[in-house]
Amino acid sequence: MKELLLVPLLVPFLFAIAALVTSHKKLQRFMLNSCALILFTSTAALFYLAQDQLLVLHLGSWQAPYGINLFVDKTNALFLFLFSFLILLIAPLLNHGAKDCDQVPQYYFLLYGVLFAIQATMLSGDLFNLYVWFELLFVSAFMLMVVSGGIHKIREYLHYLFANLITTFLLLLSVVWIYASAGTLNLAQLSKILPTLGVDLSSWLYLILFSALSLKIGLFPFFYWLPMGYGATSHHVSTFLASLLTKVALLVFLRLKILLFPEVHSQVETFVTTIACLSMFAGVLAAASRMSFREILTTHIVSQLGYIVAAFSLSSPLAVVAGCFYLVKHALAKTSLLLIQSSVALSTGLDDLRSMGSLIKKNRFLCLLFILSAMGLAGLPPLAGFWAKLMILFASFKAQNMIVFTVALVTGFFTAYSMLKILSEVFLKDAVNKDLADVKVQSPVLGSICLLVVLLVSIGCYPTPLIEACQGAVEQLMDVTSFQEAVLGGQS
Amino acid sequence: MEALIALNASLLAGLAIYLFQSRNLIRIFLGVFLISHALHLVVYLSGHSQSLTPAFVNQTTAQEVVSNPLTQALILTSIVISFAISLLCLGVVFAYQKKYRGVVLFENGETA
Repeated sequence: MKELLLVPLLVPFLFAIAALVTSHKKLQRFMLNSCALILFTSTAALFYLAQDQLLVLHLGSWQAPYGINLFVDKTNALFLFLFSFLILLIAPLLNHGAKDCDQVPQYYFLLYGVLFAIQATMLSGDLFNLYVWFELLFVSAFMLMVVSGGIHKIREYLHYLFANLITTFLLLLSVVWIYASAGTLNLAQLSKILPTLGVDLSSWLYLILFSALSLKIGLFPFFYWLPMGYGATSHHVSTFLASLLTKVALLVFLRLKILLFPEVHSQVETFVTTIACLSMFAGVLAAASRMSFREILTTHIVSQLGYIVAAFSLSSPLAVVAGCFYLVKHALAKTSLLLIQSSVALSTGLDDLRSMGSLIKKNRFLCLLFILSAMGLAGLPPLAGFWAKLMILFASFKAQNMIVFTVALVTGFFTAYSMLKILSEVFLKDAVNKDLADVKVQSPVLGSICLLVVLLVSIGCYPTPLIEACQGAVEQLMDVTSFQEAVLGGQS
Repeated sequence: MEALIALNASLLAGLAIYLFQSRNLIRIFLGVFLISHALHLVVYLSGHSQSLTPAFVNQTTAQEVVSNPLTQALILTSIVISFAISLLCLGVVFAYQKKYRGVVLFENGETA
């Protein structure tokens, strides 16, 4: 059964090669849908299997510390399943995006490249391998943005390119530094050796790793590349990248923090919490000050991920469960909002709030869906966001961290404000331009949005299964000894 | 030997950071190439092995201290990656030159 781990890796890879030699557009569309479907079923199977045991695959049968291994535990499985579910929902929009693109084979090739890199980053059990996947993720995402948005906007993408180049250098530096101190790159063996090397050294290593990953996650103060890069490319691709990309880095941060750095100096923890709080607050202010539908939503990711990093940095099991729950809710709500935004922008051609308005007269149902998903994002009951925010507040209260508590409360208020700004400007106010085009949402995309909203509402009404899934995942994540045994097979 | 390599790496990284200050796109990317080479040297240093004996084990080398093969594999990987990144950067320069007829960023006091 362990060979099933290869399916989420090999399928996008094979499809990428096939996409390069296929010029038929209909076939390409069919291929993307079937790839998303295969990913969905295979990760669902992995999710089911991971409930019983931790699956480890030693590539080429090289035993653990010597070879590269892939593994799936409950955390990996939960988020792989979530990501492939989102990919399945975004696939119709991505297919639509290929219509406006003049380099169709390359577009699909890079799309599969991003999918491949996302799955591989989540599965990898080797630190250097992880770095290589990050590099692949960055290059294919960058090229996808350029191909889809058009090469003539090259200047807008330079921020994205430079920020990510510097990040990958920092990441390589931190990986190499960890190797120089511990003499191994295997995550399981590192989790045995690194904590024995002393708190001072692990604090330094943790700091440099955090600085690399915080750039990737898009935390304060270096989050400018995120809205700028996503603002220049096409709406299809920005929806796809904004709903998936930064979350991968966040999950890698969580895993490395729990496995490799169980104990660091309290000043370092405070530093991480402060950065998280600052990005929570600065992110939401930056979002609320924008005047473009898409940029409000994409900049807002910074603030949301700040919440999750703050929860992770509290490092009590309760806080980590809260962070995971928040991440699931954030991914669902944000994807739904971005899908609404891109369908509005694609059918009316408008993205600037000043020139939009009175969409409620054109499409009441879409307005209802927007209100529900915005409520889900801002954390109003009875939607999923309410429980997520409540859990984070409760966890920070229990950890007696009043800074996180206060900032989370204040930020929640501004989140609601930025969503209300979109609601009033886009949907409610009288349009400046009276003869606006009708908002026609393609039926598959509308179906995806409806499904996401239904999920948000049902999680909000009955959050227990998801909370239990997150609890199980975090329990297994924090049980480092059984992870070491499963990977290294009992040997030292 | 280790100190020499470390000095070399820091020199390259410093030069790269100097080049990053420029507005000329080609200079910035030259900085990117230099900093990736500095990192390759750092990867080499992380192996803690000053031996120059290749790590092929046979009767004679088995007793000696051999150089660390893992870091060499890592350097090889990261050299390949930095080749790809260099190519990407050159492509960006090409596209920029085509669009703006120059490689200097914000030449006429424009902003991003």
